[in-house]
Amino acid sequence: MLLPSIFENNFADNFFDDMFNFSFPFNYMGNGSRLMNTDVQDLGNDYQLDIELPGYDKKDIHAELKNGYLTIYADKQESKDEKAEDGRYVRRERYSGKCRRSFYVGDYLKEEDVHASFSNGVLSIVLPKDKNAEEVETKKYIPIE
Amino acid sequence: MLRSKKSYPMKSDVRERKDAYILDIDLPGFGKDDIKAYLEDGYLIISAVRKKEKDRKNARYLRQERYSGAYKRSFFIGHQANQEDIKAAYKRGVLRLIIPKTEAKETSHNGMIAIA
Repeated sequence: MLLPSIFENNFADNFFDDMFNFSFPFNYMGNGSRLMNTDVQDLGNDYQLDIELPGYDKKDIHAELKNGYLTIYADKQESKDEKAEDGRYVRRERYSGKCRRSFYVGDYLKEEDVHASFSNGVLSIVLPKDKNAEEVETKKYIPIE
Repeated sequence: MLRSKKSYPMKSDVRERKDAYILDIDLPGFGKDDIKAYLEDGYLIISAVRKKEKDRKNARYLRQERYSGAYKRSFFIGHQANQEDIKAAYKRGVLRLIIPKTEAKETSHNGMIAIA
């Protein structure tokens, strides 16, 4: 199939990716490239989120818990020194700027239960599972005196 | 509906300074030892393999968006570059390579042949 170069060689791949991604609108940000790719793991007692944020500094990243949603904000602040010796861009693929993503985690969580660490451009967040859900089941057995 | 860019790992910025080219490559979540960079036939090749995390009991992926395979990307930088001159640093999930510009060897163009 001959197509103008703007479609790239993998036109078909792109096309079907888009169809597939439609149900996840939060994957769309800015110019269509996906940001903040996230892995979610079930660790038994906890959930672990690993969010890619390459190039961001720890102080540029904020996590907020509100109404059952965990929202991660990141804002890259380029230092002035770097800007002065910026040079001319020959190629620019990386996204630099603000980004945000929310995850519904449930109302039961409190800020102090959530543990976050940032290393090598990946933000890892550990959330405990809801313990009340299990308690309900144990409550079935009432000791009779 | 059509995206011009497919989402692929190792997004890179290339900047040109007076003395050097600066290459910034997104490689989140690696250890310094997992990344390799080398020169081959004028190409600068970057490869990285994510170390498998120790299998945790009961760990199960509910969502996996991050690329988990082997990473490789090459950039043509010419034959003049020397591996020793290229400086690399890995910080905050970004690999930065500084490739100094090499001056093309001056050849005399006056057509005269020096007689020793």
